[in-house]
Amino acid sequence: MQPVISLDRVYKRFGHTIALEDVSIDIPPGVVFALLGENGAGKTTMIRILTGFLNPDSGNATVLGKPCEKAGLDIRQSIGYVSDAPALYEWMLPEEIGWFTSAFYQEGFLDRYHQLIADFDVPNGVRLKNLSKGQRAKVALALATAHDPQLLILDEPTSGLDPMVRRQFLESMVDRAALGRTVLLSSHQISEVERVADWIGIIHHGHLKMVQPLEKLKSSTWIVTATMDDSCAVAVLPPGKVLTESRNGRQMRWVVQNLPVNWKSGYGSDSGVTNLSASQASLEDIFVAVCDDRAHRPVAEVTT
Amino acid sequence: MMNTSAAMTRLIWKDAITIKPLVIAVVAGIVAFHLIAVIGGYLAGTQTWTIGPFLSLWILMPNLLAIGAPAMLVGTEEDAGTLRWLRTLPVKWQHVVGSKLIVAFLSLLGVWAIASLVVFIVSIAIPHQYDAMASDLFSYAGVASLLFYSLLLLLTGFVTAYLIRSPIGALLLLMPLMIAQSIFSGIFAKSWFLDPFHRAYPVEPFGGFPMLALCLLGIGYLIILWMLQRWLGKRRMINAERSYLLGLSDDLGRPYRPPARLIHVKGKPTPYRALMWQQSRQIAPLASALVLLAIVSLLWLKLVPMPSYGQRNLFQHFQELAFPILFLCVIWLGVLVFYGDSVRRRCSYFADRGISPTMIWWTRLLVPGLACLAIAALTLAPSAGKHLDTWPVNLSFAGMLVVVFAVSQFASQITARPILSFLVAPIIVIFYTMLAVATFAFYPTYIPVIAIAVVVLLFATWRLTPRWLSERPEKPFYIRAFGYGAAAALVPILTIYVARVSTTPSFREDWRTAMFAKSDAWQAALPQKIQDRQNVEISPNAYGRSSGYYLLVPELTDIIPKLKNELADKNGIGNNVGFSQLKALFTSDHDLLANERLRDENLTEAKRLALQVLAKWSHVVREEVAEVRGDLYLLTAIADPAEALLINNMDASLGTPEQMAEIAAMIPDAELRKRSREVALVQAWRNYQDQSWYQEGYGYQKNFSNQSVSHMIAWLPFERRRADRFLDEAVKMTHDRIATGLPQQDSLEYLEWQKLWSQVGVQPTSTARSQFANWTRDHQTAIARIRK
Repeated sequence: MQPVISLDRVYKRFGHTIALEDVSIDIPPGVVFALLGENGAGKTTMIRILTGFLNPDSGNATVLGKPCEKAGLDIRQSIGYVSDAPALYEWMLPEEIGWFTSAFYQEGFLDRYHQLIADFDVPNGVRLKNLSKGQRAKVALALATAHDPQLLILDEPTSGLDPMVRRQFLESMVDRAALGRTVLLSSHQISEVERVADWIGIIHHGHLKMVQPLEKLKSSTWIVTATMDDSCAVAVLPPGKVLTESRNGRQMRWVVQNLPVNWKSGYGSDSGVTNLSASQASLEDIFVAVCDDRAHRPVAEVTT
Repeated sequence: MMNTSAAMTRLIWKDAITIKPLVIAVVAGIVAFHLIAVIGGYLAGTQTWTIGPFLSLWILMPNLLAIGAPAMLVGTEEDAGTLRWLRTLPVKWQHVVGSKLIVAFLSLLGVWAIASLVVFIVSIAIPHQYDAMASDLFSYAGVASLLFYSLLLLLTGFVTAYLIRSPIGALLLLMPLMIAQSIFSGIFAKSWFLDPFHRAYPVEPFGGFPMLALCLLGIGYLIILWMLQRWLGKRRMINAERSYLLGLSDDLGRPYRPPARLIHVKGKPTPYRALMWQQSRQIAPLASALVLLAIVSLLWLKLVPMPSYGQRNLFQHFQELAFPILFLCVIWLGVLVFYGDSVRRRCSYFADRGISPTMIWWTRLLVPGLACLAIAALTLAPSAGKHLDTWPVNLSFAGMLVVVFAVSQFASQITARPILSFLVAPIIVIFYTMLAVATFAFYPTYIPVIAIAVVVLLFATWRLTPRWLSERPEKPFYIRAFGYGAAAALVPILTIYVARVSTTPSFREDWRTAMFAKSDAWQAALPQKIQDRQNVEISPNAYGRSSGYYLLVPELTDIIPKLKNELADKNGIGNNVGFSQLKALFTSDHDLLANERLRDENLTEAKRLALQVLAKWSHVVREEVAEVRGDLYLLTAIADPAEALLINNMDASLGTPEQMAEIAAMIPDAELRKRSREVALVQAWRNYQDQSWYQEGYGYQKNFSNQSVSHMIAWLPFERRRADRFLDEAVKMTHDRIATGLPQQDSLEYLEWQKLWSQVGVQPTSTARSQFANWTRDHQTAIARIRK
């Protein structure tokens, strides 16, 4: 199946700052793909490359099979895009901006827009500049989705939305994916992402650290906790890919990927470990494990 | 909490950074414009400079800062939303308002100081004539009045900036307010204050009590304005914002209902219609006000007749204001092209949706562009009582408005801060105007080429639109913009140069070789001829070309003996009578008799003798020239005018048939005429070839028959080559047609021939362009008739 979004060894730097380095990714159709990363990780740069606003220094990027470098305009016409600070003509009324925007899309846009704006409870007859931040965000989302695009790219889409609308909006993303549409969203709201995303990409300092289906990622990542008999004692690393290691008194904690079933076998009675447990990591745990620069990362991968 | 001085210092730091781009633009403008004016003047070979244009810049630029500072300091913060943020900080409103005024005031003083320094350097660096306006302005009263006006602008600007939330609305309101204040202060100061004082106490108006009282009144008025802007600033910073529309709306709490008004519109709009609607809606309030103001200015210019002398009424007195207002309206119409979408980068809306940049560019341009064209079309209408109101003048004026619009829409797109574009655009317009004046002063016939600049600037905004839409203007954007701006300035000039080079005639090697050979042969025979014949002394009195001789009635006492002596003189011509005396004899009998220097009975004889003298002069000079002892100048200055005067006044009533036949016989025959012309022309051409271009003043020149060639633009090598080649062409055509007869005056061929000479670059009153006209008259037929 042809990916909706494809990045192949994409590099981008601004002066001495590396924004993206060797980023490769293929996003299949019909998924909600969440791009996670701390501030300045390169999420917006990636989205700007995908929407053709920026050209990569090297590498290739395509969206809907079109090269982003050459067909930016074409891509932006085909997709729905809401930037982190959507520009709107604030002197227009919500109904006016819908009528105005409908000129650039197929028939049916206006009806869907009215439906969305009604669902979002945006008042009519009030200029956008007099609406609240959340209401303006709703208008921007309605404008980006009313033409039912194959791909929706959202940069921090739920910022400013109240919890009810946020939930309603996120559920509509799942519905879109169910209909075969693709959604790429960047967000800091990890708990929300966890609820709706099919795939997760974690970007850190311009490097795409991890790209996996959410369920697979979660099912393969564990938090292993070992209680030592002495606060000075050191336990061996658990088998699998240890992302981080931390210690709190007599307790040691690892975030581990690909933990084998028989992982406890390495800890004999002479290992100094009095208690061992493993629990499935949340997405937030995984995110922090990947992105926390202050975390201790054991180098070796232990095999059983 | 931060102490007062620290808060004030940081506010001043912030405001100084806000206003910095405007200060840089104005200072750069001051330096650049003076440099252009000085370099242009030097290139033009200006010998006597006037300080007037420099004074205009000196006054204009600081006042531009005074107009822009409040708009930048208040308007930019309003647009960026930072004024609202400042309201949330624990900072006193007095500090916010005070800091803005202090920064604006210090910037104004700084720019005045820089402008004064530059104009001072210019005034000592270039030798200029005395200028009454300069001495008035450089007095205490002059400087005080200029500072008063700048402060008036600044404080009024702050009043409007705090009064109106829209920065452009504030700028727009500033115009009528300043006009009203200017008119009022002018009337008040002159009619109500200085004139009554002057009548009551005959003292110097700018000195003594009236001046002091006027200063105190002015300061008082400024204090009132300062208090007003402070109060309005407080209101803006402290009072709750009012949104009348929000208050009127009762829909805020109700669920959304699709609006009936838009649903009734059949289907969705076309992209073109939607974009036109959006652009019209966002610029309509400002564009309407600007168009209205422009029309009022135009009517002011067109309908109010300007008396050439005498008392002027109020409208006539301030009519000069109408020009800058009209131009400012057109400049700001141009700025409106991209302004509405630049505010808070609203244009990203289009970029995010991949809407065609070409369509966006076109729809941005159309509404203000049509408004500008409508204003330009109105300028073509005839006006009341203006002697300069001709179709070409009006057409040029309309063209200027279109060029100004094109420059302004370019400035609107390339200025990062939307408000700044309203202030930078006039500076860029002045820059292009100076460049255009410096170019077309040399090449006035190429003025239509300026249309290329319009095309380049429109092309520039079209090409820059995708970048303007999709990214915050940064270095690559400005590099491109600078390139297009430079292209708009240089492409018309280069086009002119290319046209000049490509229309330069080709080099005529064979013809030139033949001409050199002919000239060499004549020169080789010259020593023998000089030996064979005594030289003829030619007095300057015989020269008939200078118009100065005809202005006064010359001395005609004892003219008959003088004429007889002149005829008897074998050694020279013009030693007894001058050409002006001969001409006076034929000008008006009444004048001659009235001045009682000549009796009636002698008049006929004097005229007959004068005809003989003219025939003698023509003959002698032509023979001298034919024998290579005279030059083209001699021929065209004596022989041609003498012959023309003779033929025009050859009247049978002036003597017996025998006497008249004798005169006719004295007239040089056709062969001598042709020979003298050919020799003179070839020798003049040869002398030209033997010269090198030499530098006089700041330009290069060469002489053809004592006339300067291409004095103004010959510093350009291709212009020198062009002048040389066209001289070859003009001389060749003249030489070829000497034998067969030059084209008759007013014929198409004659006009072509004249045009050819004008291309050489000789001065309009030169031999080549005016005196060759004598060669085209059909004297041969007239002489043949006389001889019969």
